[in-house]
Amino acid sequence: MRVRPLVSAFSFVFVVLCAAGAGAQTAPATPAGPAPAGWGSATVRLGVNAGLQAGASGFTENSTLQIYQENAPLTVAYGTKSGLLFDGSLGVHVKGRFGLGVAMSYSRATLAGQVHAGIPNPFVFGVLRPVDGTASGLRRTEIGTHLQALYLLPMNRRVDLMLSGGPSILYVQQDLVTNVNFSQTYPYDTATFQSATLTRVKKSAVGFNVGVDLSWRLTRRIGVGAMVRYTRATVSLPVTGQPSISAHAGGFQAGAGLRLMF
Amino acid sequence: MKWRALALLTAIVALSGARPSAQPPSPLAQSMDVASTPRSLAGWDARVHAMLTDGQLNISRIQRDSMLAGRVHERLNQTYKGLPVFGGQLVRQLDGRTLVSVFGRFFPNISVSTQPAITAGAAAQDAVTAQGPDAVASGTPVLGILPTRGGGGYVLTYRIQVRSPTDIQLYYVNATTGAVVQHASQVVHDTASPSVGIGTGVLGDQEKMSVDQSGSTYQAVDLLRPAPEYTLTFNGSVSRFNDFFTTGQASLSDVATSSSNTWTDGAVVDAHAYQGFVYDYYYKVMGRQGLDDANHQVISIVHPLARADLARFSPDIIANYVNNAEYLGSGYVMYGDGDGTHFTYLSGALDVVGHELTHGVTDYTSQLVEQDESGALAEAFSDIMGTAIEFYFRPEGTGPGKADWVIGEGVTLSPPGYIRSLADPEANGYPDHYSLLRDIGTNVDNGGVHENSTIVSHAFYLAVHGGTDRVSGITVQGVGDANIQEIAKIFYRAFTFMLGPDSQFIDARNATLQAATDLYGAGSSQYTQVQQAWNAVGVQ
Repeated sequence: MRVRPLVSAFSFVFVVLCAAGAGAQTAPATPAGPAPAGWGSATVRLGVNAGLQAGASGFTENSTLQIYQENAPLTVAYGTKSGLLFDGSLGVHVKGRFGLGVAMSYSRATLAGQVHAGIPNPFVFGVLRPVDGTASGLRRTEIGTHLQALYLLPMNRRVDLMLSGGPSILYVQQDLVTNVNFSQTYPYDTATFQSATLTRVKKSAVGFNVGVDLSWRLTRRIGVGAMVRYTRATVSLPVTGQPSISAHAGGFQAGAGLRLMF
Repeated sequence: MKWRALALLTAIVALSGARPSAQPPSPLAQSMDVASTPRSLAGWDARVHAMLTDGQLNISRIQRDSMLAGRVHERLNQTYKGLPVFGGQLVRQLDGRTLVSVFGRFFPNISVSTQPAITAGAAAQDAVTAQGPDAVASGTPVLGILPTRGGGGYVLTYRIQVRSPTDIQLYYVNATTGAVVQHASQVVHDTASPSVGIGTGVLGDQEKMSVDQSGSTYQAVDLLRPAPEYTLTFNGSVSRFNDFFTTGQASLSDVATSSSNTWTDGAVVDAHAYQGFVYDYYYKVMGRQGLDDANHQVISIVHPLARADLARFSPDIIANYVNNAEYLGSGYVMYGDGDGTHFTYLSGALDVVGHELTHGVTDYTSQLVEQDESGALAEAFSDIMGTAIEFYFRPEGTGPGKADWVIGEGVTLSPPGYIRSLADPEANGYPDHYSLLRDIGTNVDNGGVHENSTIVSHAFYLAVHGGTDRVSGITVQGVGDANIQEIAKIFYRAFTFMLGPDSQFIDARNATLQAATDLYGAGSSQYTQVQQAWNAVGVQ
């Protein structure tokens, strides 16, 4: 279930690439057509994309609450989910097939967390009552800034392939479960999960990115393209009074959109 | 004998399958002691019905059976020409409309005038005068028939509660002459032989407290349990102590407080936490909701008198309110500070707290009279339940914080380090066999209520743990300590549903066997162990 969006994203890119390849093989070159593929006379390439980001692997929160004068263990398994991706990139020709670029990505997804906690008995020490539930509506937002070394590989007069890679700075906003609301009735032998208290935390981390961008010139300066990128960083999400939570940010990004070449 | 124990004696023999042992007669042996057997059940059904019809009995209370669905227990108070016969009560167990058992005591052949020669007010004044300075009558005097102790006959009396600065007494005043026929303290003390001394502090274990936060102050008011439970402190104020006994009133201003939720007064902590444990135990194990099974409030009072003031107090005061704990009626329990030499804060022992609150359960069920054998049964029941409660919450072992077979081991500082032993009563000078029954009919320990209690509680010990009675030499296998609650349920059922105010040891035997039959069957191991345990201690 969780890999489906990723597969879909790859499928989309694959189809685009195949179509581009097929176009490259069959489309006749005409003098009045677009400028030759590659950097050519263009020194700047802009791209905007919309697509999906398949979230990085899930992460687990292990923390300790204080309930009834006693430690209450809390474990939350946060899942992964694909989210909408918006991406913009700028590439500048440096020399030969090489260039430098910067891309920014924005993704947003709503996750769910499986909550398990041990709620202490209100009257006696050492008697934990397990509660389980799902915390839904956990928002996760990632803004990535990707610095890139670019290598442009012309495929034919219309199609070229841009390879990219470099460091990334990923800024993450994540809703975390910081408390558990439960119901209970005397004699309090059991407790029932009701809801989770959420706190939004923010953190940045440095990671990396590698990617491929396939563009297809429609005119001399305008084209369409598709990109796939993998970016990743490890962030330590801060929780007040608790150890920070280590989580991966980024993941596979795939999108398609407009290409401008100047 | 003026009255003869008719059907009862036959019933007991039929039930036990043995001849009555040669035991000393109880002062109220003239009453008709009722213990139904399967054979006599039909006859009792008809007799009870007839007595209800002609007004010799009336239904005073119907208790639902919290242990067996469909069962109810009716308490039938004896009356004579519309007046209550004090102590006369039958308890009828019904399964739907089918009679299951009848227990209790009935006083036959009453023939006295029911016209008082003096007014209730005059009788109350006589009682107050007898009690001494600063005494006041409390409540409304009740005119009724009193079967006198020692078999002296029946007397038309007023029953009057009298409060004094240090005691609550129940007086029976002759409604013809104004003479005091008998009186006894209603304050149920825990220890029978307290000592005087100075001592150290309380135990150091941590307990959770269910409290009420009011602004920045925390109050020892339990809001989490269905029954309201308060812990009060008199802070050793003699005037507050005297006011309480005189008026019977406690105030919210007496509620123990703390400026933080970390409580440091050990006496408050243990009284508050343990009274909650007792509620939990009765709820979870016995299906009972509080002392009266209707979530009656519990009010624990600590620091009634200060150790620093010991020199001001009489030995009796020290014995009763410093080195003692007592159930005061209506859900009030008082825990002394201990003198520091013989006892420390008595709320520090879970079994002591369980003992005192079980007096409250008795108060709302059998109402065993705190005198002679019936009083010993009440004390035994309190020790039994206090021990069962300790076993429910604590791991088995020895010493404070552990479940064991002695009472008050955490708070008794002087040798032998406990108040009473269920396992070896004789080690602390208490009887462990019915042949050693003592002080019946005397004013010593209200007729030996604490002393003789160990005969019954030792039977409970033998039925659970097993062992050999020192006197009879009879060995009981026991169901094992891990199964203590099985036997506790039997005793609880018998003592709360089947016994009446004047029940005797033999009634307790018969009732527990009936309870064992109800819960586990007549051929069960539990039945056998209880039966053998009573045999071992000579109650048969």
